[in-house]
Amino acid sequence: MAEKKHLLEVNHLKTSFYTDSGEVKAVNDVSYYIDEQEIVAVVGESGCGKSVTQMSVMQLIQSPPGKILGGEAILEGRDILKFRATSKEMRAVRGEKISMIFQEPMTSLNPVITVGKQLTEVIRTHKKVSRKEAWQMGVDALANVGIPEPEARMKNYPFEMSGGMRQRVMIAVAVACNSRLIIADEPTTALDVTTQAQVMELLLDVVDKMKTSLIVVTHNLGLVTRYADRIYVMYAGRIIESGTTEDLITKPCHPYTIGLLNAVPKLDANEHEQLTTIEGAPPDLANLPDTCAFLPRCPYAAESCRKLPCPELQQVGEHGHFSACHLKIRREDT
Amino acid sequence: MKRKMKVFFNRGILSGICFVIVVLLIFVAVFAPVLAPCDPNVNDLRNVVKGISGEHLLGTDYLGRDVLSRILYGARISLYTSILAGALSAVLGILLGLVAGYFGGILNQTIMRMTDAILAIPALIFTLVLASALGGGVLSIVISIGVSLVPTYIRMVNGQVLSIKESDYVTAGKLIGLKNIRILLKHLLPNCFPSLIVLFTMNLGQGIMLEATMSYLGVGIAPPTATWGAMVSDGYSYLTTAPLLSILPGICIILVVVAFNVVGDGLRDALDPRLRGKL
Amino acid sequence: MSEPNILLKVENLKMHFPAESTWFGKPTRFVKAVDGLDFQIEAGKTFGLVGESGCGKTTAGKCVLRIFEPTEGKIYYQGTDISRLTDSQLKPYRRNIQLIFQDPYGSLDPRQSVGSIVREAVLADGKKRLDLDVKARVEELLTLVELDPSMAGRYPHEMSGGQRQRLGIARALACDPKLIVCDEPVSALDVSIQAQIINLFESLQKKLGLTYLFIAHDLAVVRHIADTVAVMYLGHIVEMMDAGELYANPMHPYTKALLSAVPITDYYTEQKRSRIVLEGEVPSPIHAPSGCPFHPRCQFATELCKTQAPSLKDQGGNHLAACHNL
Repeated sequence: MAEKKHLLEVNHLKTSFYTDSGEVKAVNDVSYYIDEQEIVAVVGESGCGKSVTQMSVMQLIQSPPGKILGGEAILEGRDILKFRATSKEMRAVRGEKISMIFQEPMTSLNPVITVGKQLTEVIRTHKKVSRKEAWQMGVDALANVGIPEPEARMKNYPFEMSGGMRQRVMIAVAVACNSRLIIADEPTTALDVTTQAQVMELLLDVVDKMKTSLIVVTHNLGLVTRYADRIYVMYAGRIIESGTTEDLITKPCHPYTIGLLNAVPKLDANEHEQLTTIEGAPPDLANLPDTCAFLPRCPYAAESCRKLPCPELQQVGEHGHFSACHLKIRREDT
Repeated sequence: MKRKMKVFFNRGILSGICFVIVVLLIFVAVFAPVLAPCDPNVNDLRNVVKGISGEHLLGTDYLGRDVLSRILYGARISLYTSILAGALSAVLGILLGLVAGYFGGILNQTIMRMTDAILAIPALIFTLVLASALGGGVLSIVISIGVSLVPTYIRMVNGQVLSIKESDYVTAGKLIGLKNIRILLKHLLPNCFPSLIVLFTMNLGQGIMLEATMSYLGVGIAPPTATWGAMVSDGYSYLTTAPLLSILPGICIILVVVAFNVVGDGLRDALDPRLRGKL
Repeated sequence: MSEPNILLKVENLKMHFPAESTWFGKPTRFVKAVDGLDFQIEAGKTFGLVGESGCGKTTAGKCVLRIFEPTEGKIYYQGTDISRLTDSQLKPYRRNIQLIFQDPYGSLDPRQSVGSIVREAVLADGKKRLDLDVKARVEELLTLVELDPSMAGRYPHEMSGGQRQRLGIARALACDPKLIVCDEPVSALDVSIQAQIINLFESLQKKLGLTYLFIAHDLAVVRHIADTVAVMYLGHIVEMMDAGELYANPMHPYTKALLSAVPITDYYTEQKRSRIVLEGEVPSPIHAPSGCPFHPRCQFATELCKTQAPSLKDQGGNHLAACHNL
């Protein structure tokens, strides 16, 4: 098969925040890519830099205290990190090329303006259409994301909608703009399980129908197992393991990934079985050690790990399975 | 304590300067009799409205009294009335606000409607009417200023209590069997502190302003007692010939009011354990 | 057969909040947050209450804690009905039933140090104690929840999420409770920390013989920790069974939909699993549907479901479900 061209390729991205307690290396040399019509998940616990990575690519980092220190993000052959954050080109990228969906849709919608007005505004910023046409496109978009009575809903204010409905509106914005890539940052964390399933199925449908790609940022391993094609696992500002969903979930190599998978309560396990935990807490990003950041919590840690510098990603399997660990660990498959 | 001081002074040079001003004010107020070169109330009709001279460092007023001495003694009255009035209003306001907010119901309605009624009258008019009803004298000024400032405390404490009493840690306190009085004093009150300190220092400034205004209008402390407000008022007629007579006490009022506000902000931060930990 | 030792028994519990009222303050409409719950918890066991937001599970917990006085129904704690007791009558029971909060940070007074939070809870019963004993007790409690007693001087904001939740547990344990209501105690925590706290709950139960009323929306967590699970929908229990049965043999269509909506981390099973995506959203409890509360979203709903509410019926083996189609 011929080499597919990546839709978005991020290389060696570094973002830091300068705070009173020193430089917080939130994103520390992160590289990843996403292909056309692919669903990629970025998984990690709070504070691992998974959201900051996406915000950096969109150049939405508050500066100060944040600063993108280096790296590139190639979208359709152009490095979008070269654009100034406020430039016309960057604004065209946001929305037109890449749409973002956030955890709490209430905060990304203006509470005092109707949904319809907000939708048409976004459409008219990116497309040269009349107000009437934009309104119609908005109605179509709402219908496309499965909102009943879209015309009536256009006149609603965000607070008159439920959380799931608001998230659908955010997806409708992406649909209306024909975005090439949707970045969803914890899109379902604030929602109930059944609504979560509705929203995820809708996103899947959008990827399928609109031929877009989707990056899902989440801490929910179950969600990525069900929906993602490939997974990146982040810890302390770095990607520590990547691979196809099948490889990564069934044959995890990094002790952190193994720990995370073991720590999730299983629906079909024996009751009251001790959960395997990862001891301790994530490290302070302002005081990262020179060694592997996971070392203090790692159950496999060997003497050699203490002497070696922070490990780089190394290929550990086929289909681009990489892991950043000095040790060659396999979880025994059951 | 060391960490508290650190937070306070980490806020920059302005905090430091204002802190010095407040300390200076207290020092001056306490040691006015020692510091003042002349008796502030002795008339010298041969030296009326004299400019700066060796004998009178800041000149004399229309009765030939030494301006520097009067400013020093005026600091006394200003500090005295504002602190007493501030304390009075704080104690009353916090108590009523806590009780109204925590227990709710009829008690809350009664206290809050009375508060609204007082707030409906402009503070200055309310203070003036109350002061004249109580007759002259420092005490009546203190009481009238104090009472006029009470509603702001009630409003603020009430609002804070209403939100804090819904918080999980108050629920937890009830569940572990704490007595109401302990929840009020140990959990609700300390968590109102940040805004209270700001309000208290702002009200000290406000108190000084009110006292000065009342003295300026002639309903304040009876002459010849030196107060900054009366000095501004007295110097007013000589604004074109001897502007310093009004401007100097005016500057004192401004400086002290600003200093109190800034120091209040600093205290609020210093007393917050969340900010202390950051250093 | 000897009667099992029932610690808590709830009968026909109803909690209705006024939603709309006339000009004279007389309520005309009610939010029926909890509308007739019956369940009991055996001493030393864990009872799981699952459901989506707005199903009334938290309200039910608050009624048991007597933060709310229920509109109707009885709550027997060790045989005594505590549902109508006044604050002063409640006193002997207060410390026996404790609560673990969802948001560990919000449940801790930001101006109180770790040691003082636990000490206050120890002392709140008003008994006289030696300072030395109090100090020892605080240290013992911190150790019990696997916190370093040297942290006593710290403040909540200096702790991690997991540590704060441990502190919340230590405060609850300071009252020597028999029953602990856990209201979504791990949903705000990260995966790796969540497992630590769940294990702590289990080990504490073994050590101290605690009884838990465990309220959560995460079926996997509840399934893991609970002995008996009740699934709630719009103020009603729609299914109640042993935890093992929840995954193995769900009967109610809502339970089935809930289970299928939970994504799991077993790749091959996940690929094969069928998904039931429910249409629409949970109706508002002010305008609760007639008949079976679930019928507007149920694919098997019949005419009977629209008019008549099904009652919880024993389906064999301690498995209760409220559905006409079983």
